[in-house]
Amino acid sequence: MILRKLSHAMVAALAGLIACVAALAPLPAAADIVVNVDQGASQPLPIAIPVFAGPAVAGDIQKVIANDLQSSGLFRPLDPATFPQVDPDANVKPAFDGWKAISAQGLLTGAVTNDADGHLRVDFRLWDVYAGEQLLGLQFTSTPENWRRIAHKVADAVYEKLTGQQGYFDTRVVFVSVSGSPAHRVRRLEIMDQDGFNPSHLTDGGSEVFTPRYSSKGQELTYMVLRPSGSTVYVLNIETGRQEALGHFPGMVFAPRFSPDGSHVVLSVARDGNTDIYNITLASGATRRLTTDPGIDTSPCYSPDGTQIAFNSDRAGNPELYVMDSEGGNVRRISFGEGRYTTPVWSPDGKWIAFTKQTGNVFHIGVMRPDGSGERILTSSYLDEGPTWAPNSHMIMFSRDTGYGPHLWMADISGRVLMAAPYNLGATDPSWSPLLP
Amino acid sequence: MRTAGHRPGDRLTPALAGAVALHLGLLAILLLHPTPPLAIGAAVPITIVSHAPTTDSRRAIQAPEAQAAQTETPVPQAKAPEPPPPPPPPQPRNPQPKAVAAPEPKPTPAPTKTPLKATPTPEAKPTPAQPTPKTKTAQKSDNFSLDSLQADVSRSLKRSPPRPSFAARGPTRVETAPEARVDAGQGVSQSDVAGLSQLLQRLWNVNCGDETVVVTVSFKVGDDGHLVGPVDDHGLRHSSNPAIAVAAVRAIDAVHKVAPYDPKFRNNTFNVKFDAQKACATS
Repeated sequence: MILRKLSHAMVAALAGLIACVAALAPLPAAADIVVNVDQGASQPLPIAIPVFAGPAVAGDIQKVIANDLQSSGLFRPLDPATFPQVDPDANVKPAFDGWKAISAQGLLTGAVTNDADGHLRVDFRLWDVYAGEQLLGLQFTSTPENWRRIAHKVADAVYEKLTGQQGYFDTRVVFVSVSGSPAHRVRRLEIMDQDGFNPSHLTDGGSEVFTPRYSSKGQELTYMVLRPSGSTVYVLNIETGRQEALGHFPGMVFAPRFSPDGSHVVLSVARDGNTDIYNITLASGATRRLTTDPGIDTSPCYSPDGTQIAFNSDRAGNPELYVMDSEGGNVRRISFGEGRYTTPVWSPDGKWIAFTKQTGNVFHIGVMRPDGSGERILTSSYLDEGPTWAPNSHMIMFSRDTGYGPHLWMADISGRVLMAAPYNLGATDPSWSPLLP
Repeated sequence: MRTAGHRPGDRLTPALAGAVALHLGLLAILLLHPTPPLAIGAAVPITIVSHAPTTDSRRAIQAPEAQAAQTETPVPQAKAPEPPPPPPPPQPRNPQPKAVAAPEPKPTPAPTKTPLKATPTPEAKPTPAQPTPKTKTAQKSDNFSLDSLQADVSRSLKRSPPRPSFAARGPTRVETAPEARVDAGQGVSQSDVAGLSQLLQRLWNVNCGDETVVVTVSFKVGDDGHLVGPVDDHGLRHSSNPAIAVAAVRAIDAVHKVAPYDPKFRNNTFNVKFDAQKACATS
């Protein structure tokens, strides 16, 4: 017995010793050494953005670029006071050691020039500091008053090069600004750059507006006006200012939204005690009913390829998400989690559906795959609702009310970034534009 | 509209007539070309003129300013080259390079044991209770027990503080002198590799986008601990898939950040697999 115990102990000890010796033993000298790295630090990427050379506007451009990149949560612009060079020449390869010393992983250098034809030209280069190589070199021109858009374009190019995802900074957001006391609420349609600049009212607040939605082409938006007599759906061309009423509906219409090609609008209409989804052809005004279920069917949203529509319905007793073919057939439920699911919005790349979810007294913004898999909750608060996607399908804006009125917030689909949108006043129903031309 | 100084009956001077004509003309132009009623959303297209020409690197080469930098945050860089990562958890062995660098005679248990017993004086008053049963076993098993041997080894490793060495240090020392290091680094142990892996993990800023990918890069570490030639990314950096291209760039950056590599890694070629799928799933 003792011998057996001893032999077990010896075997175990021997095995330990062998493992120890194996760990210490040198690897074969001639062979390449294989190293596996399967953990990393997912942190904002440190980037140095010195002021571009050129006129005073160069400093403003630098600030916009830095602000854009920082606001994404994926970049950390470094303090200019630590820069080894104040104004590096954009046409000269930088001395990288100095930039390494401040841990800059990327370096953006550039120059701003007023061209002879009156245009503003921005040349810039993005450098990989550690590899000592140029990653990007581009030149943008536009009219001088358009300098902010040039800066956004530069930030988009940098974002794309360093993250592999399309940028979203040269975009706008349309939303409903909310002001006044609860008894005298004023709801106005408002538009601003995604970074909060250039806010402008599109309506005067004389009527209550709801659910503005951009077309995927970016020049038009549709929204709803509620009056005592009923609701009217409008299509507004924001470049020409031309506005057209789609029709006046007795009762209530909800959440009109464009088809991807901009030729149709889907919406839900409460008629005869039943709320169903309808499709309106913009050219002819022809209306077609897509759902007939006695349940409440609302919040329709096309897939980016236009073949399917996501919507929510309480036909199973509880608000859940469904997907159907764009002609109204092949309806299937995709949400099966606990809680109430509403406002599905298809991501521009077609890979995700964002939604609002309520569990108990808490509201969430979440995403799931179009087949219902991979549900991921991104936010939680007293009231989070109405998600809208940035054109890169990575960032989501939504409305959050923590008891002091609704405000705009942003989150990314990884769940790592959550922040207030750059608009401090009351606002709800955001809709993100596509990238501007 | 009347201007101060003009009386109702005054005749039109040529200048006034010209001004009136100019205003009428402007009015006509405005009427003929009405501005859009809502110019708020008007988007002026941005023109991408061209890709920037190649860079002139002469000035950088000719002006080798040391770039001492206002090193406000040199911390990570300064720390990186140090080999602080303690060897991986399993065996708490002493990470002295000697153990690795002396691959000649297999240090059989006997020699290790001898010095342990030979140094009972300073701290070999190990706690009174513990030694007793162990010595018993040792006696019973007739002076050879791997259990006790292992216990002794680990105890001694914990116990004995590193003693000051009188041997030469730095480049004058035989083992570390550059001329003696022609094949230095070839004796890299698995735990060294694990240590390198941990270091790379800390310095790899993984890109957790929608699409996470696995990339492998290869590089050689030279005599001075710096990379010999560029990191071979097998063309991934120029992949048409931006996620792959970015993953390659970030992997290469991590490899560069480690330099200068620890002496034991010098003159070796490495293939490092960066698995963003796993990294992003756990982070």
